[in-house]
Amino acid sequence: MSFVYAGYLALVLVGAWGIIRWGNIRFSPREWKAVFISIPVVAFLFTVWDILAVKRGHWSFGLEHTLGVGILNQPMEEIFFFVIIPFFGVVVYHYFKGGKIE
Amino acid sequence: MMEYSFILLGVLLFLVGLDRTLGTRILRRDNYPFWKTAFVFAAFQWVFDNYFTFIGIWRFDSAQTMGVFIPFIPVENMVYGFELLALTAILYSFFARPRRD
Repeated sequence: MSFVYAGYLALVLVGAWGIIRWGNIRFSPREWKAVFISIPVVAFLFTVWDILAVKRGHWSFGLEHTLGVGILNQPMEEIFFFVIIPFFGVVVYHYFKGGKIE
Repeated sequence: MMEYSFILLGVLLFLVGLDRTLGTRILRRDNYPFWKTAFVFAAFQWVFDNYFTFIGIWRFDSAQTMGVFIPFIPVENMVYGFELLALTAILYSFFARPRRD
């Protein structure tokens, strides 16, 4: 069991929070709604892809380097990965857009 | 044989089509905020993916890729990260767009 993967995800969340905090990023209610609609869709599609990819042998996981909790053929962290990393992407995109979309 | 590479190519074409269909204009050449985001995203991804692959959290089957590693991850994986970001940006932008209704 290892906290490396979980720790990395926590680090990314802290990074996203830092960019929001010091980049003066404000999400409007519509933008928050967009976050809560788009990220679950992305997470679902990429998790399905991930499950199939592991089945087909494209890649595999070393469960001993994760918390050791698996869901289907995925370590638990992988599910959170597809939520946290896209959120980080949205925050950075927001930052470069000058704090607002469109 | 290089199945992962071909899937990535297919998904990339799908994303270009999705971007056009939804009218989100994320993948246009002059959408500099997105390309800057992609650059920052890729830099972090390259560092962490290599570290994770090096210590064995992820392992890639080289038969499913072209076999080019940079230095521990297949070059295809950078495309994977880009597709994750691009799909997110397209959907987010689509739902965040102001609408007259």
